[in-house]
Amino acid sequence: MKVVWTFVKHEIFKVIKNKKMLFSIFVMPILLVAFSLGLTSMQLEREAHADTYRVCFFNAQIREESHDMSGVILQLENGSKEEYAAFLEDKQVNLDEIFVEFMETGVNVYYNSLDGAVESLLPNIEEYMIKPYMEAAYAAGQGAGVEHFALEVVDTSDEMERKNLSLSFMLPYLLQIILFMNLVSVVGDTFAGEKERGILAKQVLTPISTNQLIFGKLLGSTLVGVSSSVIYFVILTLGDWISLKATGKAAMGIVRAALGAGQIVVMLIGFAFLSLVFVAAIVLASCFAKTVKEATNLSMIVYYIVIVAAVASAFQMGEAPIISYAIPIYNFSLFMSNVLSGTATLINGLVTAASLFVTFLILVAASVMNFSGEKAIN
Amino acid sequence: MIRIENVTKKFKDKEAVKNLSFHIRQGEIFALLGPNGAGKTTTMRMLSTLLKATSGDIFIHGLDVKKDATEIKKNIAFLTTEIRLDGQFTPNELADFYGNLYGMDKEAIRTNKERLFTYFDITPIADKRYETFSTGMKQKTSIAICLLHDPKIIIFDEPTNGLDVLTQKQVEDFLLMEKEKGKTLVISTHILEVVEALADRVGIIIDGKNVAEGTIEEVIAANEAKDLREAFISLYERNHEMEASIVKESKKKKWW
Repeated sequence: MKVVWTFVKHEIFKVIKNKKMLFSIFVMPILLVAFSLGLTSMQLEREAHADTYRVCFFNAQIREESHDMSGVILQLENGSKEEYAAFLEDKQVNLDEIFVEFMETGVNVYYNSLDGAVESLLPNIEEYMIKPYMEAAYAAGQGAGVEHFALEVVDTSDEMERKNLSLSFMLPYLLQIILFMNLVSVVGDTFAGEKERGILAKQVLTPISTNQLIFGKLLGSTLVGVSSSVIYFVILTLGDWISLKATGKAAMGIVRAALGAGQIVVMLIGFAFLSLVFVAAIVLASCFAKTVKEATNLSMIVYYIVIVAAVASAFQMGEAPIISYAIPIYNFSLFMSNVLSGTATLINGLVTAASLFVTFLILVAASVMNFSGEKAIN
Repeated sequence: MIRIENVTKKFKDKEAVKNLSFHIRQGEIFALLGPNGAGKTTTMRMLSTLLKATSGDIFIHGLDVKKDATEIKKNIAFLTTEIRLDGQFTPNELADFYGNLYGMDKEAIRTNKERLFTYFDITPIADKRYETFSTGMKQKTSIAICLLHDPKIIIFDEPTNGLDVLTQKQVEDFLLMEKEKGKTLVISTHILEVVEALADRVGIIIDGKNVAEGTIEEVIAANEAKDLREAFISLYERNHEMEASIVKESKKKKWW
């Protein structure tokens, strides 16, 4: 244990003493993240505003507390012409009465953009409801003024929820990439970099076991890499508050608006588990690399897996089966999306953590088996 | 003390060391001589436990390097120009770090550090970064850190390489002092003056094979030479030619 602690201290001091590394793993990414999130936040503001007019008609979930519900509410399901007819009959909806009554004021059709886009709903409403009504009105010689009939589209979803949804797609991916790049930088240098500079061989020559060497360096570099990511996270969550104090505007409101304390804690725990997998994967790659460049190239395999997992999790519709949470890295993206959208469950979290930890152990075992004095020298 | 028995080391399809055998006695300075690429460094690395022999055995103090590497590491020091210290740290920090890895207590680290730092004139710069030192000071600091755990066997690959005359003398004197204390030293060099000044016995490796072993006088006499240089050249020409002709012959066989 003393040896492991010696390595942990050594790794931390190594970063503190290296101004370039300090800048590259702590300062530079913070600036980049702040800048990119600021831009993203602005973009999301624009998109959120545009939703009110752009998104198609939708069914269900009307928020009575936040909208004026006077008039007739049409809660429609997407479906065929026959289903629409059945729906109208079932609800005893008389379109003649509705449209005549609201000829002057128009009809509000509410939708909730968070419940999934149903692009066919608007044409269906027009085709199956409005058009037949107008045709009937013209046929009955009552068409005068019908063409002025107003159909207003209102998005009933909460703006904060919309941001949260966008965030749940983007943030897990963004943070995984930040975490991974940090760890590649720190762990890659700890193993392959020290091998390249002839430092690792000096450590291998001491009477410590391969397990102690790998665990000590792994733990030290994990702490550095993860603390760097935690700092980003804190900067992100405090960013809005700082911005408000300084300028009176919430430049990075995206994060503060979306995350609660519980979500942040669960995310940090998730990141701790994910970082173990990343570190162990980079260590394994470093065992086969002679230089940092080689180690980075080999570690890129994990980078591609992160991208694929993040994209795959973004396309996950509805509740994913529990087995999905046993797939390392993909499960993290999935679970983080759940956390951010407020749909995470304890069992999903436990399966994710267990899967990541088992992967970590397998990768460490593979590293220990593949590491030898010969691998420490070029 | 150190027994190298029929050791062969292969790297993919290349044999760096071929059926090598040496016996190094306790308390002597044994010099491994050979041209570049002869297999000296590979042999030293196998002695230091960094590399594992493909076949054959190496015993140090009766311990097998394959099975008892951890125990052997406690009693050896291996210094080569390819193995370096982390430049961001000071000699004091490096001594504490490596002392801890060797399982030394604080008092032992302090005592040994003081002795070595004083001898190698490191004390005034012990709190400055290693990367800011001159080549000579770097080499002296490496030696000091390497010997911090007071090893019984010292393995030095090119111990005076790149050093000025004064530093070279300081290092040579130190090695002789360590020998006086009963320690065993294995040095590898192609500088014959260093061998003549330090070595009790020599082993000559050419193309990965042991072609001579004995005191300097014995090697000179066996090769009917005037001095060690002439003996070395004679051994090289005879053994390297033989090797070249074998390679030529085998290529012919492959061709036909």
